[in-house]
Amino acid sequence: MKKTLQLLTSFWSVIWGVAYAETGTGTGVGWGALNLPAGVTPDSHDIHDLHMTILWICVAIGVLVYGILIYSLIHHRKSKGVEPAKFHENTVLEVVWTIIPFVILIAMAVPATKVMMKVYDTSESEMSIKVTGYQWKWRYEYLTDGLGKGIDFFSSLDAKSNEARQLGSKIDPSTVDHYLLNVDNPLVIPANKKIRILLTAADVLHAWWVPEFGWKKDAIPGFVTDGWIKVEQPGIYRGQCAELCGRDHGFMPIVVVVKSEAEYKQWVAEQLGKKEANKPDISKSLTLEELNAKGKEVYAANCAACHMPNGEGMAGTFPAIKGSKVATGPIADHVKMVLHGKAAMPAFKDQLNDVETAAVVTYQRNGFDNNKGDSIQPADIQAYK
Amino acid sequence: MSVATHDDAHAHDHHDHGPAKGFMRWVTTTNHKDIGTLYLITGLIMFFVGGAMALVIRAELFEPGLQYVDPHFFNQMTTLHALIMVFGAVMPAFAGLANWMIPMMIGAPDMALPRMNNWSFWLLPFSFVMLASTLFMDGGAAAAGWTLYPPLVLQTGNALPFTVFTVHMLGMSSIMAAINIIVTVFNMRAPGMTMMKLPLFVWTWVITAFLLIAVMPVFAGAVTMLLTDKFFGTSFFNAAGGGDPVLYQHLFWFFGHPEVYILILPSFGIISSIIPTFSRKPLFGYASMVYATSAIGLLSFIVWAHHQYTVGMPLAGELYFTYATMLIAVPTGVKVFNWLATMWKGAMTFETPMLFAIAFVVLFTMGGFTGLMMSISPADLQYHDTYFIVAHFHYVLVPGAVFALFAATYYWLPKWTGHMYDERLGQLHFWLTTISVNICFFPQHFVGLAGMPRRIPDYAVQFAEFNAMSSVGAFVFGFSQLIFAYVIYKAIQGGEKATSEVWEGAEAHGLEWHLSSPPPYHSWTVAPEKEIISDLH
Amino acid sequence: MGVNIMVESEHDADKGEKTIILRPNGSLSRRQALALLAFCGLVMGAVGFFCFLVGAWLVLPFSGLEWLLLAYCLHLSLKQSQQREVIIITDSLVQVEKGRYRPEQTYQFQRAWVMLDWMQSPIQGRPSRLALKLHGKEVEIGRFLVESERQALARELKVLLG
Repeated sequence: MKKTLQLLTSFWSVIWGVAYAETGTGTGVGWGALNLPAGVTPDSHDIHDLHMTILWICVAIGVLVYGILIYSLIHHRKSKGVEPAKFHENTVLEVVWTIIPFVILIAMAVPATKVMMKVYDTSESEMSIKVTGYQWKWRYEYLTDGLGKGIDFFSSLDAKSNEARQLGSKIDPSTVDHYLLNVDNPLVIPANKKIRILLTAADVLHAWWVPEFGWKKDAIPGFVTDGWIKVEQPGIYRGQCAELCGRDHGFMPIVVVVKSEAEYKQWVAEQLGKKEANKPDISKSLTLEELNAKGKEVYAANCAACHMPNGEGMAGTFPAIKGSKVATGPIADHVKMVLHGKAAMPAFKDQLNDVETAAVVTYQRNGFDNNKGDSIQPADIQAYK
Repeated sequence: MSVATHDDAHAHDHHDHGPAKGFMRWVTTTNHKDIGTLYLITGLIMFFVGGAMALVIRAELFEPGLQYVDPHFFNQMTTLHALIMVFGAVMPAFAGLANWMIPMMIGAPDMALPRMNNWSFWLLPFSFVMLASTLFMDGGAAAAGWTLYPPLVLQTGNALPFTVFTVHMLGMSSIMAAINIIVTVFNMRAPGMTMMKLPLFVWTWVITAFLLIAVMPVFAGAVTMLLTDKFFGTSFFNAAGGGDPVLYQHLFWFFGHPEVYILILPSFGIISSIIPTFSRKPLFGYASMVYATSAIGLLSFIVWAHHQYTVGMPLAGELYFTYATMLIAVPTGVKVFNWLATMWKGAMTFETPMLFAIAFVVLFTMGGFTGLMMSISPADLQYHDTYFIVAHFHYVLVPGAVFALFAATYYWLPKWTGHMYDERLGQLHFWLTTISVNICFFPQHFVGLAGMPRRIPDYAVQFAEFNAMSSVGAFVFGFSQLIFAYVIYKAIQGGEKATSEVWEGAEAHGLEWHLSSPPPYHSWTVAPEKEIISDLH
Repeated sequence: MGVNIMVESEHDADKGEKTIILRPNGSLSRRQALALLAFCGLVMGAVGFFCFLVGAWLVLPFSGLEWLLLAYCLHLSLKQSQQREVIIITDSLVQVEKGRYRPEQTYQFQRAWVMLDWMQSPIQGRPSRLALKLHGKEVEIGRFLVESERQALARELKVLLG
């Protein structure tokens, strides 16, 4: 049975020229993007096989049902001069077509149960990564000692896609590499290790989905959900947020770079080293110009999505920075708002370091015609945390 | 001591119920046919409004990149498109058919509670004006999808309370309509019209009405809790205050799953009326149709969380909802097989209603297959929230519910207006609609499987070809519906006179075909003879 | 309940009295209505209680209100079908009693002089009107009957009074 199914599957692939298994991203290209990817994890293979099994069962039932219908449409028409029959029930027939589908369903339920139990078994994982959904980026925290503990970064849409996706940008998306499926900082994981992914969200619901890994799961604020992956092949795998999370829901992709264990260890070392080296020097005093220049970058990357690049926000949903009470009021309240958030405004204390916080607060108070003229130094941020 | 029998044109104004004149006739009417007409026209108008929103969506998705609308506006469009199509087009249209047909089918002069009938209709226009006005408020209309999931929906601007009130008003309207139908069918049946003689359209509507009154309070409660969370500091759905955002999803889908059957069960009734007429055979397995519909209604209460396979339920929950959902395939299969058996060895002709009914059977079955696939929870971990889902529910709702409404309109239009519709235009409408609906929705299966999430205004370039195709289909589909509107207009204006039977041999298939075309203002003031009822198939 | 008989006649030969009872069509008995209400209450109550248990107590008031509306509507419709008109014809009198459960209005006519007025509507398909008339006093009967029953009643009365 399974052999036949595989044969049929490959037949399907051949007639449609499906290329899903061969491309790097695995999602197929153009007209070839027809079917679920076979995937690169044990779960995704199981799910793909299950999908093909049900699909073929449905096709078989479909052939039968549509076959009978077409036969009837051709032969049982008035223009052929037939006399309509009078029958309107047949107990045996009715019992049969109630029981047979029931049996087919049981035949489907058995493999489904097996696969689901495997998907849910996150035990004996070798490392854990915590993934947090934000509007509209992902945060990855490595939790396992010796396998990256201490690495913690945000991952958002890459600059090129971001530029091209603006309304009326006039940039042809096909000229952008992996348009909408590319990020600034990809998640990096080792191949052939069972990794437990812990999911949560900071603001609204999100869902973390890489089709090649076989599953998606919701990230829910205040709750933790989980799943596991064990990727067989090093490579780059792409996915997207799969739960509507607001304006830029379509623009928070997921990119996972899978490295061999040796390369992964090397990457971890680099990251931890870089982290040490890049530790912001909060003792240094910065001029207003330096703060403003840095703040402008931070604003574009973190604030502009809601408060808009011109600082005017969106009436009713996202307040304006321009002329706002917070940005023109006492600086202490302004810093607290950025650090701790309020209602829909996320807390940025984990996202921005002290230098970035000082810079963005200063920029917001001096840009957008707010012209407050005051500033805050990185060293003073700690007091508000 | 004498008996006077005479005609008197003047003396009985105070008790006779001819239509009042002009606009006020429609405002004050308590007549089931007038109200049915109002519902149907509202449904048609909202179908075009919701359709225009769908075309905004498909225009933006025609090619990658953002060309026309801001993502926030795009999200408002997807949200309102769904709310309007579900609550504004399909439900009022079914309510209109129920109002028109149920009294005629059960041998009653009118609905049991005519004044409440008037209120339940007139709530609708006000709620839709309110819903549309939210588009112009600060922050725009609700943009969290028709499911209105928190916490996202709580980010809505000024529109949130208005959206919630709209939902309350629509809910009240549906509840009143449902109660009216229940009371009518239980208390107003003509002598001899036993429950197991009821036409399937009436049966399916009774079950639909029970579903409505069972689940509407849950939805009303859930959206009210959204309001109190936003404005009165409660924490039903807020984890920081000890609540749970997933609780809303459970409540919503406890309402929402029966709701999708509310959208499809009356279609089953319509198809079960049309196929026998044009096959010139009695419906196969009437009793099993009734039991299957009841079974589907019952099952709809215990399968809701199959919309939430990805929220991280315990394994036992996932498996339970998988098994329960798969079971729905059994009664649904019974219905499809019964329709096939009804056509089998019939003497079919293919007028427009029959064409739409056959297309319903073919394409609804397609939606049924993908539904079966999605019931399998591990597979749904892939399908969930992709275009595969979008394709699935559009297959059950467009060639499902909407095709049934087209079929019903063509089937009963001669009865309502007294004129035959233009068969050539009807067939043109059918072919354009059926071809374009497949061009629109079939490719969405592919992009969904290949990895395109739903509710996104822009997509990666590998999905471009199928999306372009889908948009072309959508536009052809949308503009084809103008033919439909024209056919209705033309039949109201005039045309070949319809006989009371309308369709050859239809008299055996329902009481409505024993009334004149158009029927008298009050349907069965002359009680149907018991022999007529007992001769019905 | 004899739901299928909208016009019942009784003849008491001893008293020389003829009684005709008119009732509107109602396919639901009081008992069935209560069963229906109980069933809906059970389902809606269970749903509301279940929601209450998981913390969504705000569903309960909506369930309650809706059940009350359902009960009220059933009550209205049943009340409608509880209407009775009893026409008692003795040697000297024609008495019409109208009411629910007990006579609420009573009209009496001299049998010798009463007129039966049966008016067809000028518009086809609309109901006719049947009334008893004497000296400007008029009482309509059988308004809730369907046409064929009113016709039969008119014929019967014609014979009885004629």
